[in-house]
Amino acid sequence: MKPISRREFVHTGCRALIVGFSLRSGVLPAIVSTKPVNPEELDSWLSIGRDGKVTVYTGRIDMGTGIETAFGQIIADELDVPFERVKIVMGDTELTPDQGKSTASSNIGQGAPPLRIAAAEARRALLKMAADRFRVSVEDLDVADGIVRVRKASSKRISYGELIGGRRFRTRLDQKVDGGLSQPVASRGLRLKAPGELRLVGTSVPRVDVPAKVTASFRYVHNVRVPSMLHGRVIRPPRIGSSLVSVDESSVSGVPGFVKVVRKGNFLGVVAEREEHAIAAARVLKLDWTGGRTLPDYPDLYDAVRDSKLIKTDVVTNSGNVDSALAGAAKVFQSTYTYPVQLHGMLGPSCAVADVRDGRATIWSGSQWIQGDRRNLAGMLGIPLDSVRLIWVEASGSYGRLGCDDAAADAALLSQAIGRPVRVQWMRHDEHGWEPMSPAMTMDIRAGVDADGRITAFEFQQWSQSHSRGESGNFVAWRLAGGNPDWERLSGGAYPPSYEFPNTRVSGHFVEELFRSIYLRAPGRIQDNFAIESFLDEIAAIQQTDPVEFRREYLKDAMALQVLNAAVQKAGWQSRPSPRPNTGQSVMSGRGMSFGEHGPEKRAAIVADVDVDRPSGRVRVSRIVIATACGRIINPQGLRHQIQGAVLQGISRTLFEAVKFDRSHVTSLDWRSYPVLTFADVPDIETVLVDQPGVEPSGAGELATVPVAAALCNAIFDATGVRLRQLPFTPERVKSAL
Amino acid sequence: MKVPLRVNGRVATIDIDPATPLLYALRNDLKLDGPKFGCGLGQCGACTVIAGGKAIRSCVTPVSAIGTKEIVTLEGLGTLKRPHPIQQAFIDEQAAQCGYCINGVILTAKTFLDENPQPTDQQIRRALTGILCRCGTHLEIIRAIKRAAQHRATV
Repeated sequence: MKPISRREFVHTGCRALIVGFSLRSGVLPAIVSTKPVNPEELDSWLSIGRDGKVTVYTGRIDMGTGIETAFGQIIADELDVPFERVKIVMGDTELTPDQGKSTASSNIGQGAPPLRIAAAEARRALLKMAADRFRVSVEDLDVADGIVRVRKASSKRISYGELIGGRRFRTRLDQKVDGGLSQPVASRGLRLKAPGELRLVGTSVPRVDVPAKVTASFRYVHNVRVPSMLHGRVIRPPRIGSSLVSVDESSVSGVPGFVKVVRKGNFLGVVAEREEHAIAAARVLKLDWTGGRTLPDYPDLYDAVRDSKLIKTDVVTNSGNVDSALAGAAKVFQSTYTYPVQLHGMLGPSCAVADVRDGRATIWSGSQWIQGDRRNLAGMLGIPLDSVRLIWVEASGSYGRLGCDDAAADAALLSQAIGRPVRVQWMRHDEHGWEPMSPAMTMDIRAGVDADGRITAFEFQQWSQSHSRGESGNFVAWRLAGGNPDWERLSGGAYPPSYEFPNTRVSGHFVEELFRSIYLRAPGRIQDNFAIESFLDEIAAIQQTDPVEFRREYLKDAMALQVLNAAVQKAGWQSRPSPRPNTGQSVMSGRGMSFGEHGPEKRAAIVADVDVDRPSGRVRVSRIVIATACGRIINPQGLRHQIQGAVLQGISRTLFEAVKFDRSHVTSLDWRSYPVLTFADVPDIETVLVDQPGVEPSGAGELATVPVAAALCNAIFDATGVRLRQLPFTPERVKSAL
Repeated sequence: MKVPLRVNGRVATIDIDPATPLLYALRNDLKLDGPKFGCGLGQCGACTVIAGGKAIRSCVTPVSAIGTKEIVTLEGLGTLKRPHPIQQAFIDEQAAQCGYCINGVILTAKTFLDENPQPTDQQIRRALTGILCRCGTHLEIIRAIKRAAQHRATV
């Protein structure tokens, strides 16, 4: 990009922008160019250099799921340029348009369309420029690999770089407001390519980030270094809600390179020149805390959730008359299922670097919502929004949203107090003890059947706190410092079942917060699915019906049936009721299945084979077959890897994971007290990708994890005849149930 | 105090308390970002480096315990332009999602393959049991290590 002249800057009225800096070499940002970020202008989304290289700017970010590569495929196809020529700049409030949150598996479904439209608009503008240049009509032109040719005069050709290189398009885009965000839409006469015209979409283009990741040349947020940067660590209260009475600063005076204790209300951090000294200071600092909340007795967790103060009940489905249908039923079945508190547990603890001084703030964070964080950090710091810049740098995976935003707030408060850049990384006990968790849920289901055993009434009730309690300014730091907005969005509640019953009522009861929470991969859906899909298996077993045939009775959606059938066919499912007759052997084998959805176009079905070791209670998953449909497939290999990852994390959550606590605090503070799946526990996974070329693409990161728990639960029942209704299925729990 | 460390074929002298975990010396003094902080407890493997031919956890190994041992980090194995065959196998199998665990996976695989050139699936799983991966990249990783073993057998 060319340097801006003062004249151009004044004339365009654009904000000056900062690009081309290298964090690796520690060079500070320098102003080298301008570009707009408002979504109405094509130049906000895309620029083409003289060398023909395309730079695309997106507010969406890649959490290690291959989104950067998938975006590149979509853009290169629409623009007719080679894949290698597209560079994507992600997540920088000074450079990228506001595209909301990179959450809810929506990067492909909602994040990509504006980029695709920008690419198509750019292609149309370039063709028009070429037509004017050659004095022909656009219809007389061909374009391939970023070169426009006059069809009947092969010597007349010009590259995109020659047509626009380094200059602006100055094209306005049509807009619609979608979810509070202004998003570009295809303007009149703009034709997006039909599925049959796509070359890269649908192929397994290798991921652009993998080579750097395996050779230690990838830049994670943990690797961000800026000049004069100090190291900070946070110290959290011994209980939620404890008040800090006093700090004995002399207790850390002997720590070498110690800089400062930062206290703001109950927020507390230490800053030192070197990282190990910040860690040492956090460890030895003498503190006096008082008060704080008493947690429920761990065994009473689910009663405590049910008895918590009710915030709101959402009745999401109420068809027919469930009460009278239950009253008139020949038989009523009912069960209660519970799902524990779980962690995202990112492998690299939350980390951020903040430089807050002279009334300005620059924050490097793995945040999945840079614009929201920018607003909230500005509020917390008391700095005007325009003076806060959020720069996303990839963190350590994401399975929902994690502590990235919290670490940003920690670093920002420490840096503001010191007046120098501060890097904060949480220790493992900070991450396990204070990350925003997936809340506990308890779920009641009742079903009434008629004399023929057909379900006539279905009632599902779920009690849970909202999954959004850590969002939008509810950073740990701001809560502790005081004055946070305590924003509340009720999310992750009850979802309607995939099945059609004559009378159905589904209710979600949102209750008061126990632990701070945020979305963890398929929030609400994964818990609901565990309960509903296990419960259907219970009824099928009582009626001595094959679980697949039983589901087909009530599953009316053609796509759902196609996915279900694809999974059972691949698995070689033999029709018979569960459980399998007891063979008297110490290792009992079983199979189970489950069907799940994630949004209107996403479906998955799983068949699981398990071995249950009677003496130890240990469950081993030997094989998983999963079929999925999530619209047009952008990158089959990337999709398959996402699905495998989601299944394996689902197995981990089902067999191993539960946050434990005593009356004071979380006691699952490391990987021993919060075990997760290891390489020894990994089964073979066979995936069936049901492609739907005519259906707009959507993400599968959450979808594939939804039906895992119930499939394992049903397989354990098939193997043992024992129904487990509480996760996780640890050896102790299984053994005591057998 | 001044401590010499042999890292990736060079000798670097750093001014550090020898009780400091090696991880911080590598990351902050030598700017080697391959080894990563995961738990600080030796439980997850993200901080793995090779020291004297053995895969060790640098987050719980003090600098003083290294002595004259040669340390190899992920940077020392190969580069973006010239990846080590094991790294190439990981690229070929697309065996990384977030990639935070991959440092520990590859360096553990390197020492494991040095001693077990033709491992079975089960041996690979056992060798990696102490390495945590949270994204669920396990199957791609196992395939990558098998591919690396096959490559070794053919050259």
